[in-house]
Amino acid sequence: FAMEEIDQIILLSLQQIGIEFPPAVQSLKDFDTDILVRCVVKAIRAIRNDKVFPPTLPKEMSGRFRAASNLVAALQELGYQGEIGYQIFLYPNEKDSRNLCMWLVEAIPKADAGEDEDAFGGDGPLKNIRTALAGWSRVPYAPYGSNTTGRIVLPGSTTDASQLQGLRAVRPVRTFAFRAPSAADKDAASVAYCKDLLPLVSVQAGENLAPSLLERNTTDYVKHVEREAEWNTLGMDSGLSAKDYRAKKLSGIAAMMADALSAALASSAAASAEYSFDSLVSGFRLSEGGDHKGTRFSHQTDFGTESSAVKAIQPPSASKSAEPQMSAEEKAELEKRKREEELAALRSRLDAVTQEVAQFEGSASSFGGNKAQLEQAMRAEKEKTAKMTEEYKMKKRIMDLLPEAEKNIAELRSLAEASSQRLLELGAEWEKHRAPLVEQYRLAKEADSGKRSGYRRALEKVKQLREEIQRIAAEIREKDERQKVLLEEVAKLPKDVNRAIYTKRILEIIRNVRKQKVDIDNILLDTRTLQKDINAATETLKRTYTVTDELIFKEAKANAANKPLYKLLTTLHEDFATVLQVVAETGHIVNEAKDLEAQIEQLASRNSALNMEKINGDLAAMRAENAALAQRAK
Amino acid sequence: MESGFESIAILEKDTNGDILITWSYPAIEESEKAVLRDRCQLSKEEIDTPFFFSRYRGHWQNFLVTSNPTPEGSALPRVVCFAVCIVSKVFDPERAQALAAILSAAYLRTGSPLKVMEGFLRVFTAGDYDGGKDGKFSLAQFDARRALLVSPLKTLIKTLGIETIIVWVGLLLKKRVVVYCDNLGRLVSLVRAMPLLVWHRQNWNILTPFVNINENELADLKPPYVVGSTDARIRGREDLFDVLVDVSGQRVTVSDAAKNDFSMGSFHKELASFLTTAADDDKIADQDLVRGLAQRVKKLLENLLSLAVEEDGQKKITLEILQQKKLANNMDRFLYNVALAENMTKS
Repeated sequence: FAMEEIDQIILLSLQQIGIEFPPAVQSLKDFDTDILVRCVVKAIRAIRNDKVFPPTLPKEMSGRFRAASNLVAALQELGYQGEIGYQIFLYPNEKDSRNLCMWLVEAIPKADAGEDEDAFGGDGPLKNIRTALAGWSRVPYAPYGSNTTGRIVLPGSTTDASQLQGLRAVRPVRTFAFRAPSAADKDAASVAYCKDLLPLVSVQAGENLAPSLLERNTTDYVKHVEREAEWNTLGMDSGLSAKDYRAKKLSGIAAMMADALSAALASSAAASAEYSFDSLVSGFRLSEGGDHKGTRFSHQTDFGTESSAVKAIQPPSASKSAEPQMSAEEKAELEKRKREEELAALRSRLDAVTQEVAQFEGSASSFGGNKAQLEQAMRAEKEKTAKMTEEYKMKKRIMDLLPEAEKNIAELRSLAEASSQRLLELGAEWEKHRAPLVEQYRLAKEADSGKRSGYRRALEKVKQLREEIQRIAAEIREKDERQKVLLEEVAKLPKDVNRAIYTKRILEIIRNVRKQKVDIDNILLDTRTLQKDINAATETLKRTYTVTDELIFKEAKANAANKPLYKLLTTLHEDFATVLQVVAETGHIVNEAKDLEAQIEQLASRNSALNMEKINGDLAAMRAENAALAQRAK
Repeated sequence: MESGFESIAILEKDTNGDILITWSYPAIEESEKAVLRDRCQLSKEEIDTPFFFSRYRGHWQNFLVTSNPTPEGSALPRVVCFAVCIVSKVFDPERAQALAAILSAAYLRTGSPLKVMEGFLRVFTAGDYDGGKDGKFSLAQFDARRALLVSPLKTLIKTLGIETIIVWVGLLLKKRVVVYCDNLGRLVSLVRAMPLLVWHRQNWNILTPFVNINENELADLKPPYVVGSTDARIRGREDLFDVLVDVSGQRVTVSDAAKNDFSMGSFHKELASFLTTAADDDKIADQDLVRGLAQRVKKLLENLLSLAVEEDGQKKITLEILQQKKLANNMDRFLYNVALAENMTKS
């Protein structure tokens, strides 16, 4: 019954994908090779959207075999995991056919795709639209309005017209860090600026708007995530408020930067001899090179060597009038010598000055050393003076007191004694205040640290809660997502009869199952009652027998004539035992027979797959074909 | 006889981990209190040496750390360990240590600073103090001159080897010397021996046996000085030293700025080998070594003085005089620097 229900559903589903069954077919039991192949081929088409397989098998045996094997391969490719082989198609049996059809019905996409295709006859405009969209999605993105400059031709790009059309607009992505109002703009000036003067983001970023916005958004998101992570780990442990923590981090970074800068400055100062600003500047001059020689010295050498140039710019008037007879070479020679002399004089002067400078430097350093020494000496002297002044004062007092030394010493002693006594008293007095104060401080501190640890615990809890919140939030998001997907699925599900039929059938099946369960329970109850009755009867029998046995035994003892009676009773009892045993054995055998019958039935159902007659026929056909082929080959 | 002791303070580390100056006599200035707190070592989990000393604003601070083994049952229930610091104007750590030991014992026993005050005042007025079972103290047992020789020069030379000569030059030329060692006790004892290299000056006030690297303490350093530190960062502070003695790394380095003043010749080589061989010779006592070195320095100074020119009734040395003598390479510069340091140059 149940199997038939399933078969009905399968048949219905198969009919929905456009298979027509002859009226004789009422369940999968009635499937023959042709129908099964038609179903499978149609289903594969619905799943894969192709038309590789013909809906019927060829006539000759070898062709049928090959086609069946191809179908098997296709099914395995689609992911069918049940037992499968060509024999399923050639010698269909109920069980395998059912398994296969159930899987196919499951695998057929339930989306409207199938219906659409049917509606538009498979090759409708919708399919065109789909292929066009798929083609475009492979073309790189290019914003509107972009020109053809900076165009990139991707490697491996084809000459396909549609792709080239996309490529015309391809250009590198550039982003622009635009200014947008943020939560930090709290003061009036910033607000006013953002409100009245700040250009719109689209104006700021220009044609880079989209990538800039995307970048900004990603940056903000990443920033937020990073901050959250840091706050969760380091921030919470620091025991500061979020604001304080940020301020602390800010000052830490500022200090680090200051350190780095000062270190860099120090190192550059140490290396200033080599990398001074002047040398840097002159380095620039030299590197300009070629057409522009900058240093004075190079000018000088130019002047000395390039005599022709000198000659060319010589003011001719004076020399011409004074020494008209001098040839051009002589003049040049004279000029050159003059220049050299001048140069030598200048050099010697330079040497002299350099020497002087060195001397001054030497004396400056010795003066510096002297100065340091003198400062030290002065400090030492000052210390000495202070010490001596003190000593002098002390000695003066002593001198004053010397005349009456004995008396004064005694007096001073007693004075010292008295004042130290007084100090000790004061100390004791102070101690009365000091000790409780210290104690109080320590107690307060302890309480504070107790509070602190309490605070820490609370913080720990807060942290856990936060984690929990995050976890739950993630869960909620996930569930939302799932809900959305499920809603979509529900929307996609066909809303016609199908569902009602399924529900109705399921409900019916459930009802049946319930009924059967009640029946089973009743039967079980009956069996149990019966067992009980049997047990009771057995007991009664036993007791009756014992009583009878005793009675007759006594009688037999008393009267010899009764002896055969006792013998008969024993025999009777034994015989009944044998009868019982036989009955039980019979029951067993009947049970066994039933088991065997069931087994036979099972085997028979399995054997039906191997319909020997048919197989033999097919084998003969195959042999005949082979023979024919062999004949033809000859 | 004067004790030289100026003040005494008690620093305590309590069960909360706080380090407080809970008592002092007489009052101590706030900035100095901060230095005491930073230097008292109570924040350390383990203290490698209970007694140590340093110097701040010309005063010697002598610390003696006592741990309280039973904070619960003792007279100081909330104190884990404490330090008694005696501030003195005389360099004699042993003297301060002896008194601090007696006063620490009294404080640990009674839990009250009154006994400490009594002992301190007693020594101040009478020069001796009998603390009963805590111990006895008498100023007469101590001589500040003996304190100079407590740390043997030989140990210093054995530690630094041939590079001792660099330290010697640094001290002779009144340069800034920084010593780094990760063990405080060792550091203090080595720094303490360094003035023995320039015995003729007998100036132990150039020492600051250990400092922490902070503004307040570094501002107190006035060159020439010998400064110790257990903070490894000091090795990177080239602005603080001309010579860096890295005891833990067993290296002596001269800063780039001072390199010129440390070029050495055969004279230094000879002196260095004298120091190292003498330090290894068990027959030579430490005092003999100090004396021998002092004599050599004295001879050097005498020779130098003999080169001086009379001017305005004072003998002066100039670089020109030394340069004219055509001395061995770099010797003129060295001698001039010595003359500078010994205040023998023309001003």
